[in-house]
This record gives sequence, structure tokens and C-alpha cells, in this order.
Amino acid sequence: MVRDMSRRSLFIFNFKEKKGAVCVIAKFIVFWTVILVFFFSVVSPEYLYGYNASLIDKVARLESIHGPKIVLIGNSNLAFGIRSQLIEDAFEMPVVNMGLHGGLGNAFHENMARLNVCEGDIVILCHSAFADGEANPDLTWITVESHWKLWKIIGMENIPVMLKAFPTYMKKSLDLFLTGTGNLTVDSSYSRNAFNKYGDNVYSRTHEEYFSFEEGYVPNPPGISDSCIERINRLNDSITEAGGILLIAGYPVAYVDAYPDAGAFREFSRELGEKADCPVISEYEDYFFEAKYFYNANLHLTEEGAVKRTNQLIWDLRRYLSGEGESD
Amino acid sequence: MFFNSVQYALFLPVVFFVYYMFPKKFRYLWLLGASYYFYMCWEAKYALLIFGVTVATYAGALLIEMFHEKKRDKAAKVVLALAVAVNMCLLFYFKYTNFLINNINRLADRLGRPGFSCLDIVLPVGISFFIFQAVGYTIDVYRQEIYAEKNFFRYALFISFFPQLVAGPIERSKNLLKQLAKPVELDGENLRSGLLYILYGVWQKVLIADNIAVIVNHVYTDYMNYTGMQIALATVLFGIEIYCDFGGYSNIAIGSARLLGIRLMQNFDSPYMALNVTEFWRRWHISLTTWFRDYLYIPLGGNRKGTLRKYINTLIVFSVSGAWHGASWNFIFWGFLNGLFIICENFKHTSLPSVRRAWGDCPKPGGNRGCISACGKVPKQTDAVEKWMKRMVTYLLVDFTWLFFRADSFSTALRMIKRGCSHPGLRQAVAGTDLALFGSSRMLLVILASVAILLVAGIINERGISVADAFFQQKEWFRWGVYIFFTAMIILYGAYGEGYEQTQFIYFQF
Repeated sequence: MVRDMSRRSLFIFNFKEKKGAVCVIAKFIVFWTVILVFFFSVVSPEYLYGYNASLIDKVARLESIHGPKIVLIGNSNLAFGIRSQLIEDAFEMPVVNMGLHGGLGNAFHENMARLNVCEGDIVILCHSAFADGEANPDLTWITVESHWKLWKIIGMENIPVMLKAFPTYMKKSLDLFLTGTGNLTVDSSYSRNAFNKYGDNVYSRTHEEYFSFEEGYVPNPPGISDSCIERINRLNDSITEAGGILLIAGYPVAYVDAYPDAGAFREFSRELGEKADCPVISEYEDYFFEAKYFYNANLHLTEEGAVKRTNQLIWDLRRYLSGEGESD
Repeated sequence: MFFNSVQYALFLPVVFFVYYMFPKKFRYLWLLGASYYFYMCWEAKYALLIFGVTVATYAGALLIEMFHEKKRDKAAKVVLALAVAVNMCLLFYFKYTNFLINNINRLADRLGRPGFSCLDIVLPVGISFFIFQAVGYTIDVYRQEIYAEKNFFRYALFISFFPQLVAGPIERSKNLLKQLAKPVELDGENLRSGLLYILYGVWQKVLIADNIAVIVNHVYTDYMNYTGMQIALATVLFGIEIYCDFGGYSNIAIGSARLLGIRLMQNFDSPYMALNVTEFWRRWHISLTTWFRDYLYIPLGGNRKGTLRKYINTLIVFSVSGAWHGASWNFIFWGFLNGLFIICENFKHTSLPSVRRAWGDCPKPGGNRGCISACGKVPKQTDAVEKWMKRMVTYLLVDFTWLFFRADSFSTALRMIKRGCSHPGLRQAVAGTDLALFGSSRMLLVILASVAILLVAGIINERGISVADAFFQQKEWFRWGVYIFFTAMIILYGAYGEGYEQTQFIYFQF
């Protein structure tokens, strides 16, 4: 009886009979494991001093503050548009500017807001889009590389596209590795060195001559998608549960000759306030800035512009905290 | 889901492991489900098309067999005709309706009559392949070469088996159906050779074909800005591209099937080592060539009804083969031209001893100096230099026909030839500036090295040695060296687009 059972045991039976096949499978797995281990331990990271690598420092700061803090979440409109020191002085709370890159997508940025949420935290979302565009998985790879701590920011829904983009990242990294051109520091606003301890880009920025808005450029309010709102509401629930608050604030909007349609932005703000469970603390109209305050893109402010925008945000936050007003 | 995609790299292992976990009796059901899923990744609704083709030919074959048993051969013939007609109508509708409309419109335009608007038809992936496979099966049953398959699901798997579903090899029922009926054991040898085939196929596709495609596409899209020599160089490169593209696909298909314990037929036999165009077609896309031979050329009379009829049959078969590749005159002309070359060779071989002597062939039948026997092989005594010269001439002839295959249309192909003649760019070519087409010297080196490897594999194969068998006889360190070398080449120099958008296999469009 015992003998009979061991015969039926799938593992023992198969292994003895299929030793050759099992060896081939094992070798195949080992081969690819060795390649991946080599890649992630020796080759990667190759973008250690790039712009996106600033996330390593931002996350480190975020996780080092175990008390109430102000966390700014959004794309490069924050990286190139905030003076965190001013906010810290105004509210006497530590500030972390997590703003990074629009190409990573809203979801990626929102996942940063879930890291180390403490009671009393104020998390401010400064999205410039509420209809989810396609996130760029190549950019996500360049950002997270072999920094395991950052991998938790990647949402499960991004895994398939990340897998799809892996060969490209691997190829680029190997190329940098073999040519010795990876991990180079550069003197540019697009480098890790350009960020201060808060996560603000403090590279000297003036309205560069080469940058000009298209003739007749008139910005429109962003669209709002249900999926984005649902995700923000879920984030709100989770932050509220942890004892923090989630707020939505404005992003810089450029105007050149024609003033943007303030009515349309008010309508957008009203709709956003109705759909989102968290308060919208800004009037988007207050964030309309002249083109001269913009650095090299329509969301990137000059140093002067960043101060102006930060002061507006402080004003909005103060108004909200004093209970004076939510735009909704 | 392309074979060179990350999705397939995930799909295949899942299919593999679950397949061997299933009880042997029911494994084919798992494969059937996986195959339909694989096909539905392109366009779910066209799974109904495969299903329809499967039902029609399954029922047709059973009826044919029944009528044969009752000695009602006429009825069997009618059923065969119906089954073939239904399948061909489907193929015609999806593939040739708009081609027909366009040609009627062209004619109507000349006559000053109003034309028809084209239909919004999306060509289902691999339709030409699975319909030919189904038709081949039905004819085999009619010819009583095989019994009709009684198990519907097994037959459905024969039609939809995912490794060869979208671009062949067009399998014969005698080979594949038999294997699907047998229980498969997990076998180390199959795994080893399967993985090697896949690695080699991916290397051919991602490293060689896709890198060359970048150059060829530039020249063929914007040919008015290139010289004759550059167009010629791009065409020479296209000959390599299409071989590596389709050969790569076939190798991945064969490798994938082998992992599942199934041996698909070889689709290529070092075609560019052929000494003439006739031999080339015995080595290129073997599954299609033999399909046409067995199910069209021979029924047309083959070479049994005189020389003239043989030549006409050859032209018909090759023109139909061209049309099979694409609903466009350039494909039909491409086929016709190949047929013409074969007729010329045949004419030279059988009719003009003086021409044959000039070519170096034997002066009398049965002689051995360079005489190309029926099997297409050349006796050893033939001078090696002469052989290589013949190979080069064959390559150039075949490659010239590829120009019509690759061009967007027949008129574009003619314009390219005209452009080439009017702006040969010989000086530029002599100065070596045409090499700038490769983009960088590194890419030129990679392509040259890869072609050299292909050539070595071709030479080994030509000596009657199986490259795979010879490889597995080598020492382990050598084998691992090769695995690492090929993998590194693919990772480092493979052509992936931004965001890893895989390029489609050329034959997927057929």
C-alpha cells in the first residue's frame, strides 16, 4: 500500500522519470536568474544621477519624518514650481516635495502619497491632469532601476507594461554600462544634483530665451476621468484612515496674450470638487501666471515664478486650515 | 501576441507547465484552449472564423469518408468540392474582394464608368495558412491517404495549434494529427532542442531581420532619394531580412512546438545555398511549396502532360503562390517571375546542351559534372568556386524578384528599377559612402558577423550535418558559450523600439 502511494506521488515519480527534462528546465531557470541577478546587482543602476533619481532622496526624506508633515504630490509642476522652505516656515511643519515627472503618470505619483502616512499629515495633490494619460514604462524603469525601496511605488496595474518595457531598459543600461557612460553627473536642471533636501529643483532658472509659447497659446482646463477620481477617492480614504488629510490644489497655468477662460477653469474646479471626496483648496484662476514666470515648459516655473506659486499655495492652505473656504 | 514579444515569453512557459501538469489524455484540450486564446489576442471575433473553417472541414471529411465507405465516390467528390469551395470563398472574401474591386474600378475608370467603393474588411491574421491546412486535410481524406479525424477537439487543435497558426509551417495531417493523438512525455531532448530553436529564431528575427528592416524600410519608403546602388544594396539586404524574419518565425514555431513534444516540419533548408532557382524553391518555405506541389501542381497534370503543359503549370502554380502571398499585382508578378526563372532553368537543362555546357552542366543525362539531379544536390566533383558562383547568381536572381515582393506596388517596383537605372550612383558606391546606410560601423559589423554565422550554419547543413545535432555533440562549455553569446547579442544589439514595440513578422500579413 505504501509502495503504491509513493508510486502515485507526482513529484517522486516525475523526477525520476523526467530527470533529463527537469535538468534542462532547472538550467534554463538558473541561466536567466544569473543574467537577471548580474544585471540588477552589477549593471543597474545606470541613471543614478539623472533627474528621476531625485526620487531616491525624496522617498528617503519622506520615510525619515515620523510625524505630521506636508507632502506635495504631482508631476514636474511641483519639482520646478515650489519653494518648500517657505511652506515649512509658514506652517512649522516639515515639507517633502515629491513632484517628479508627468511621464510617470498620476497613479505612480499618487502611490508615493501612501508611503509613511502619519497622523496629522497634510497631503496635497497638484495634478495638472485628471484624465489618466499613458504612463511611460521606460521612464518608470529609469526611475526605479534597482532601487528596491522604490519598487513599492509601482502599482500592480503597471506590472504588465513594466515587463514589456524591461528589455528596452535592460538594453539601454547595458549599453551605458559597457561604454562607461552611465551614472555621470551633469550640470543641468535635469540632474539629481539640482534638487535640495526638500525635493525642490533649485537649479538657477530664468525664463530662457529659447522657450516661447506657441502663438495664440491658450490653455484649457484638464479633463476629468472617472478612473482617476476613483483612485483619488481611494487614496483619500486610506490617508484619512491613517489620520492625515488629502487636499487638491492648483498647478501653474501660463498665459501669453489671451487670458485663459477663467469660467472654464471655475467649472472644472466645481466639477472636480463635486466628484472628489477630498477638498479642492485652490481657485485655479489664482494660478494663472504670465509667460515670463515660466522656465522651459508650460508647467515649469522660473525661480521667481516658484516663489509666487508657493505663496499662493500657502495662502490657499492657510485659508483652508482656518476653515474659511473650500472651493467646493 | 508576437513571438518576439514579452507577452509570448510569459504565455509559452505558462502553457508549457500547465500542459505537463494535465493528465496526458486531456492535454490536447488545454492546448486547444491556449491556441484559441493566442489567436483571440489579435482579434477575438475571428476565432469564430477558425471555428467555422474547422467545423466545415471536419464535417466535410467525415462525410467524404462515409461516402467512400459506401462506394459513392461521386458524392465524396461533391463534398470535397463544396468543402474546398467554402474555404476558398472565405479566403477570397477576406483577402481578394478589395483587390478585385480596385481592379474593376481601374477598368471602369478607363472606360469612364463609375466604380465601386471598397469594403471595410480586416484581414484575419494567418487566414491563408490555416485555410490551406484545413483544405489539405480534406483532400488527404478524399485521397484516402488518412482517416478522417473523429475527435472534433483534436481536429480543432490541428487547425489552430498556436505555434504554427498564424504563419505556418502549413502542417500535413499525416504528420501533426498523428502526433496530437499520441500521449506526449516530457522529454529532455525535446526541451533542449526546442529552446535552441527558439533562441536561434529570436536571434534571427530581433537581431538580424529587425536591424536590417530599418535600413530597407528607409530606402523602400523614400527610394527617390536613393541611388541605384543603394536600392540594390537594400534589396540584397531584404533577401537576408525576409529569410531571417520568416526563418526566425519558423524556428520559434518549431521550438515552441517541440517544448510541447510535437515535431513540426522544417520550413527552410538553407535556401540561399541553392545552386539554382528550382533548388531554391525546394528549400524555401517548404511547407507551402510542397502544398502547392501536392494539391495544385500535380492535380493540374504536373509534368506528366508534356513540356509545354509543364511550363504552363509551373507558371500557374507560381502565380497563384504569388497571389497567396498578397492581393496585389506585385506579388503575382513576383511569383510569375520565379516561375519564369524555373522554366528557363528547365529549358536550359533539358533542351539546349550548348547552353548547359556553357553553364557547366553535364553534357549528357546521367553525367556528373555539375549536373543537378532530381534531388537538387550537386556531385562532389563540382568545383567549389563554380558552386559559389552559382549560389551567387541564384541569390541575385531570387533577390531581384524580392524587389517586387517588397515594393508597395507593381508600379513602385518598376519606378524603383527606373530610378536605379537613371541614377546608378556608381561613384558613390565605389567611394564606400553607401555603407552609411547602416547607420554606424558597429551595426555594420553586427550584421556582417551575423550573416557570417548564418553562412557557417548553411555550410554545415549543406554537408548533410544537422546543425542542432552537431551543436549538442559539442562540449558543455562550448554550448554555454554559444547560449551566452547569442543571448548577449540579442540583448545588446537587437532592434527594439521605444517602449518595446515589436515589429510584426512579414509573413503575418499573409
